[in-house]
Amino acid sequence: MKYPALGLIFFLTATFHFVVSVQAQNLPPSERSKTLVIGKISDDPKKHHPVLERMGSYLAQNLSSTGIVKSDVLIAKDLEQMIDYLANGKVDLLSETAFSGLRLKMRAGAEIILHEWKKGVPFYRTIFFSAKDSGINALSDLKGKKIAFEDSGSTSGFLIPIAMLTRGGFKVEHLRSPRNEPKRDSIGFTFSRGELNMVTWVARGLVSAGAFSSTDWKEVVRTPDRLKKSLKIIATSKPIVRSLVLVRKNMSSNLKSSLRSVMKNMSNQESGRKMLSDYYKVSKYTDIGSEASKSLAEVKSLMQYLPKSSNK
Amino acid sequence: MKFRLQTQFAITIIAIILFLVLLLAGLLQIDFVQTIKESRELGSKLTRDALFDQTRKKGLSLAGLLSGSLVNALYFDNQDLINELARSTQGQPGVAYVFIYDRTNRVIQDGTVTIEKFGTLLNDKHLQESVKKRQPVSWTTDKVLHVTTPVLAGSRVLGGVRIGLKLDEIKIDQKNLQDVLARIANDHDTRFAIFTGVSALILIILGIIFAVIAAKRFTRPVNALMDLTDQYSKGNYDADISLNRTDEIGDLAIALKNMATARKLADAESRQHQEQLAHVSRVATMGEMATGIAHELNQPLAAIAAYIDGSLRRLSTENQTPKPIIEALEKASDQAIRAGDVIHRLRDFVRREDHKSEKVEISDTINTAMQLLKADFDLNKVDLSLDLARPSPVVIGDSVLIQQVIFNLVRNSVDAMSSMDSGSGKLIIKTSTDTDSILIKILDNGPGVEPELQKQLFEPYISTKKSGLGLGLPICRSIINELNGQIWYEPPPSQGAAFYIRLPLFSGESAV
Repeated sequence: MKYPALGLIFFLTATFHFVVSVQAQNLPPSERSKTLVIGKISDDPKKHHPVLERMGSYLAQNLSSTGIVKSDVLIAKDLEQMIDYLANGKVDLLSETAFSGLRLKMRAGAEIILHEWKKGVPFYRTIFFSAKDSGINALSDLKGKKIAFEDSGSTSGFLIPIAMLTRGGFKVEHLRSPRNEPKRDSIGFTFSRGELNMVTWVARGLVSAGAFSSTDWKEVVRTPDRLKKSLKIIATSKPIVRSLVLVRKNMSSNLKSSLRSVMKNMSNQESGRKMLSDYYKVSKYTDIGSEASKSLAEVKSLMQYLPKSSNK
Repeated sequence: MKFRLQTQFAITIIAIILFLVLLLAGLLQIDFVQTIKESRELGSKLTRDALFDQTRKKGLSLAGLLSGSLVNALYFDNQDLINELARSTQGQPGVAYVFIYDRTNRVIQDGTVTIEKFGTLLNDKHLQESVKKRQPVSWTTDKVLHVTTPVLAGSRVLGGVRIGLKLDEIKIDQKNLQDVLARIANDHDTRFAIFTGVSALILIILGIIFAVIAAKRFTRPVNALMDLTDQYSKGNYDADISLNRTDEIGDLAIALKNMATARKLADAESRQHQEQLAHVSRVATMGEMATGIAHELNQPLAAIAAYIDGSLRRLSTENQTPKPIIEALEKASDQAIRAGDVIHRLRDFVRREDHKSEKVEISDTINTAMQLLKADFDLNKVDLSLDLARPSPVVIGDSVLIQQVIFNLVRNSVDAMSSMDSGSGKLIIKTSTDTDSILIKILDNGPGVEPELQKQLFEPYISTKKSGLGLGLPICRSIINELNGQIWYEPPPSQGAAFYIRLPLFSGESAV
């Protein structure tokens, strides 16, 4: 190495911070049992940490009967890290979408305890849309064409639509840029990194179709009316549960039961409703009903058709 | 140098205004210079504070921006991103140093390639305060402004940022600004001096105009009062002015009018006394002239008696022819008329009437007076010579009073000449005129007036007569003065005495 000292410094830095980080995540057992750790998968702790802190604090205050006296937040930068946290008991509770929730259940032993409604919506669908004058009226018309998805972590904007395409027997091809062209027998997909981007790309003909949540389709800020007029829906998925509440494996039944009770009761109280609205605009929590169970079965089915890179 | 009141007043006001304007201008200039100085100092301080505040804000802003950007990087220990952020911040102008520290307060990045400060513990009071307050804290050392702020994910402290900003640049900026302020101050100073000068000049001009107007306004009533007093001094006590003022000048005008009224009354009283005195004097003179008057009356009375006696004798004779009797009776009648004239003149002379103001023919008046004195001339054998201007000059006055003056002067001459050898006394009365006056000269060849008495001749109670009161000549003088004339004595070149009277001629416009 040309600069051994520099290398040593970086090594020490990395080691030092690894130790610091692990120490922060490994609370002493006496503290851990009194602490409710709420988690989230995100690469933007700055944005989510305060929200999670407030929700964790609210829940801890309402779980005093279970011995919980305080809360903590642990954000995982990706699904793998969250699986690790859950598997090692570092995170107690988190909200996740259907796909990620099922993965965490399968791989980390997490338990789905509640159905999370957002903005009053318990389910959503993925919709495929194209420009009215594109001549594309069905998924089969997309062969040799390009479709825009949101990003690789989006359930409604990537996982479901790509699973639907592969389950429908279409070959899909990842394109680095929307200006790249797919092979004739495959559907090229690219990521728009945003709903408005996607709508604009389709309306301008940069891609032939787009796919995202039905809730995005209804929101003017994401799908402006002026653009929507030039678009049409060409396919939809079955209803997908909007979101799920999961807890780590081996959580005591008392805490689990209390959590379920407290969270379901939140929408019945003014303070609870305010907290829910602050917590990602959740409307309420309900038990997993039969419709939700069916939806989860559909999602589980679709998961088999996900590309290998996405199906971890 | 002598100035009129108006000029003095104007000069005084102008001097006061000039003094006040210059004083004000001077005070303003001093105040302005002081204000500019204070403004510069204050501006300098404010600028220094503002620059410091600006630097502090810049430091807080940079620290806040960096700490915000570091949240996710510190959360996930993204050292590449942390290093990149530190180095980009270090590259900002004015930044002296950048330290990024972890939750144990040890430096993990310092913006240098070799991370020279790696592991340095920054656990000082500023850092502790910033963590405690969850806010940035700033402080200064000699040449650096320091800002330290925690990096927070929600309420969790992930570490922190410390930035140092160079204060040298503030000093340089401040010096530049002071130079600019000094230039502005100099410009303002010049402009203010010009402004003050022009303003002072305008004020002085306005002040002069005001002073002149005020002086005129103030002295106008004074001038009117002066005109009034001038009229009063000329005897015109009926003169009046209308000031309509309630101030001291108005009071003065009223006082002057009261004084004039009092003077007018006093003059009237004096005139009355004078008239009385003149009358008494004339009566006294008649007493002194009793012998002459008796002689004057005796002649016609004796003649009347003789004519009547002759007429009776003729009527008692048989040979009566009426013609001589008629002639005698006619002569007696003439003598009676003559005696009546004498009495009439005497009565006129001693009558007591208010003074008249009428046309008086001087020659006739002198003749009438001479007729009254005819007996004196005869008794004292004085030779009278009259050289009177013809046509008779006319003056305005009272003929009796003028007669009295002539009478007194002539009688004094006759008395003076009575001691001379019989028939040697000579009296000459001569009148002559010029363009606007008549001169009456009364000259005798008597013993004249003693030189020591000449200056006191017209003073009261000065007399050379044993029985005289010494009031004759003073009365004469007052009468002549009343007629705006003059009377004086001049010793003639040879023997005798000479009195002169000058009276203004009637011009046709004088009041009658």
